[in-house]
Amino acid sequence: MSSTAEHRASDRWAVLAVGLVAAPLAAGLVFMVLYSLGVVGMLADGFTLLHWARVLGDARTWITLGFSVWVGAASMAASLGLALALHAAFGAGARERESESVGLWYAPLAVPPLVAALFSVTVLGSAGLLSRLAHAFGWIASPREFPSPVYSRSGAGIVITHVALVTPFLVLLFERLARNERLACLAETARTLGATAAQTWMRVRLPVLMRAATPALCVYFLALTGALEVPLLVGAQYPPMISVAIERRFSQFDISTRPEAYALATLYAVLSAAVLLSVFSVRRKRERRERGA
Amino acid sequence: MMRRALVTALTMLGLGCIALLALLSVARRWPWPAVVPVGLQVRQWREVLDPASGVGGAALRSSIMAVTVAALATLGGFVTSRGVARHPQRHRLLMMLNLPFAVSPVVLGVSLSYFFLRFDLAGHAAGVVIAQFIVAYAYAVILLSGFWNPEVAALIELAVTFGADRVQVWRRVLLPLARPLLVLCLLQTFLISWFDYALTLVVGAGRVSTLTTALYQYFGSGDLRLAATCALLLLAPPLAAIALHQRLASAAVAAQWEA
Amino acid sequence: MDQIEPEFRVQNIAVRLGGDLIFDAVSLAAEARTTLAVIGASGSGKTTLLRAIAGLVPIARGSIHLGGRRVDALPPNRRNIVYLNQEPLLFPHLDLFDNMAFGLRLRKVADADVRGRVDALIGSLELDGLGGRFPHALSGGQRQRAAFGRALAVEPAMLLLDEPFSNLDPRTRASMQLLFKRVSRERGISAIFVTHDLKESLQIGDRFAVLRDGRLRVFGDRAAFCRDPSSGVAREAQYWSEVATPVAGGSVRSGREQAAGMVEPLTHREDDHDDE
Repeated sequence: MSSTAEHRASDRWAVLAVGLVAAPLAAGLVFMVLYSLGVVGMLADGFTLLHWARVLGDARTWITLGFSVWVGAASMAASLGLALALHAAFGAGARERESESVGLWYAPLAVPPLVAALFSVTVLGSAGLLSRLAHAFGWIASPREFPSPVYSRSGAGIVITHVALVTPFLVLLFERLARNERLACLAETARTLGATAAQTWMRVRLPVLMRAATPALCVYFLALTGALEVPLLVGAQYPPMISVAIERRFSQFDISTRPEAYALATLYAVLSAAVLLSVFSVRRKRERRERGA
Repeated sequence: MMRRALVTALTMLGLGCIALLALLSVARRWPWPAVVPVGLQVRQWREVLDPASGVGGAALRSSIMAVTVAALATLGGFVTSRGVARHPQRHRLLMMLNLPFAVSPVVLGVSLSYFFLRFDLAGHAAGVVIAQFIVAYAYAVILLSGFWNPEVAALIELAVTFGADRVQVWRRVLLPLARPLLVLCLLQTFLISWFDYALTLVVGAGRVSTLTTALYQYFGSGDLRLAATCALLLLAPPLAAIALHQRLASAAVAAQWEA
Repeated sequence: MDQIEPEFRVQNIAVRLGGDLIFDAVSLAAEARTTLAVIGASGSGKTTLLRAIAGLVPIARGSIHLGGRRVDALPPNRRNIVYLNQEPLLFPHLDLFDNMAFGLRLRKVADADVRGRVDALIGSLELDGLGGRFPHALSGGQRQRAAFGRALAVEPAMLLLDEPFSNLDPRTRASMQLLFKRVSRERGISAIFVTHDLKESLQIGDRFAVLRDGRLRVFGDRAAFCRDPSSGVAREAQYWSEVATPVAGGSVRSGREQAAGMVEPLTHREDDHDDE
């Protein structure tokens, strides 16, 4: 089984696996760069930095990026806090078995972002269920008086919807990591060594969980920053999140904005890939250091 | 007990959301500030299920696409994940496989649009399936590479010493061992396609209609009742699958602790 | 003989887990600076007994006194009783030094003092030069010594050891037994050491007890323990004497010789085995 031929075959499978994913990504990136530089495409008339200059010089580019990062970070921070609180309330006590409430967290996984956004509009919208209840209690007289987070320019509606979508995933993630890392036993050890409940959280549970969860949290953050559906349904017209902005420019009837759409998409692709790669490689370096030292 | 109360509250919240959608899907009119609909009707359901409305066709297209993506990604992922898991550069490979999740699906779709146009796949369901496959396959390889641990390698060697050939190793050892993980993988990759809106929008160029695009169109036209009806159709299979899968998962977990 | 006030006293404790009565009316007393070795087969409730004493499992009835103070109502962190798991559970996010300093840092001991005390422990546990290593870069024996050192660092009034050496290879295990004996003497440790290995219990214990079916029997001294049939010492001694002494009757004899022949190479292999 461990012959050289077998190994070579298994290497070929690895190359195929990565190739199936990386080759289209790389080809797509090269194409976007060339298109945005005016080298290829229907409007190509030779190399130009004009489209890039236009995108990079446009304040809206940076507002869109900043807004996307804000929504991604706020959604992540809120879901993280909520998920940790729920993990503490449900999973942290179970010593060896999967805690009995885990089943509860599977159900929200059946909800796609589009449906979550629809929930937000029908519950939190200015004419939504809460607004109607507020009227029934005599607090407001018209839908306009209801402080709805939906279509808010602060992105509050997007953040709330994202939190509802992501929190169950994080609770399940923490549950699994806690089991893998034998967190309950580690916490008991800390307790008998003299740690209070609070110290056990601060010095053992949180550091161990966060250490193990960093790559997953990074991927979630990037997914939320680049989300399309929720901002499309729940977000304000302006500022748009990055995916909405790219999609708008890309699908416009007037194809003269295409090179700009590609420049913007390239910019975001490079930024998000850089974030992912640096988080993963920092972790990899740390692991190597800890193993090798 | 606080725990019990919290579980009950969260369950009620979930059921409440489903009930709200269900109520919306049979509402005749629901003007503000009425808390409950004014009159009920099944017109939305009749329209959505009417073959002429296109939603029935969209639902069928969604299912065929999702089943195709799930089957291809899981099968391909299982066969190739072994090579990834055993590769000396495993960490670097897995990092690359995470890239489709880091770059937004819109960016992925936009970057591939030229190639889809070139091969006449833009605006076709096949093109959307290929785009979804890239994401689902990357997910499958990441998930299934965790299967190939030293214990499994030892079991394979054991089977070989008992005289199992390559086919028997797969049929009698690997597939039964991996079954729970494969079911989970099928379900998750099915959902990647079933839930997808961004890739369908960009690669499908508005010409591939699925349940998600139908929901968005109804929502955009301002008819929340029809959007809610589509949403219920969208929720039904994954809810059923997750109910089924959860039993599988907890069985797998129980077996793990009994061992 | 003058009566010594026992340092540690457990009286009539009962533990119930998920409706099952794990044990009922267990009592024991241990003197300061001695090790009580408890023999218990798996399923005898030994882990639950130790966890109950440490405060990790609530007791349904009874009392626990330590150093003249009743501790059973205190949370685990205020009992000054350290429970050592069967597996050496080191904190994965801390290196060996920080693992051993963990309890001292909780007690806000000054940094220089922490360094001095942990370095001394690292030396006496033969872990020199490994302070910067993380748990997964340590061998099983090193991890177990680090976990032991982490417990010793806080100078617990009582140390509970739950089969701490059972996952180690025989050679490492033997050296850990000697090391435990030496360090616990040097530092005047009070400990309860649970094991299912008779030889280990005789090597490590100052006093002895047997836990069976939720009942604990404590013996007055080593001789009483060895004499009692429940300890299994007599049975073991008889087995070895029979193996060593040939008896009349060809077939029986050859069987015995075979048995002896099987024991020999095994011992050699154990000696060769060393993964440290």
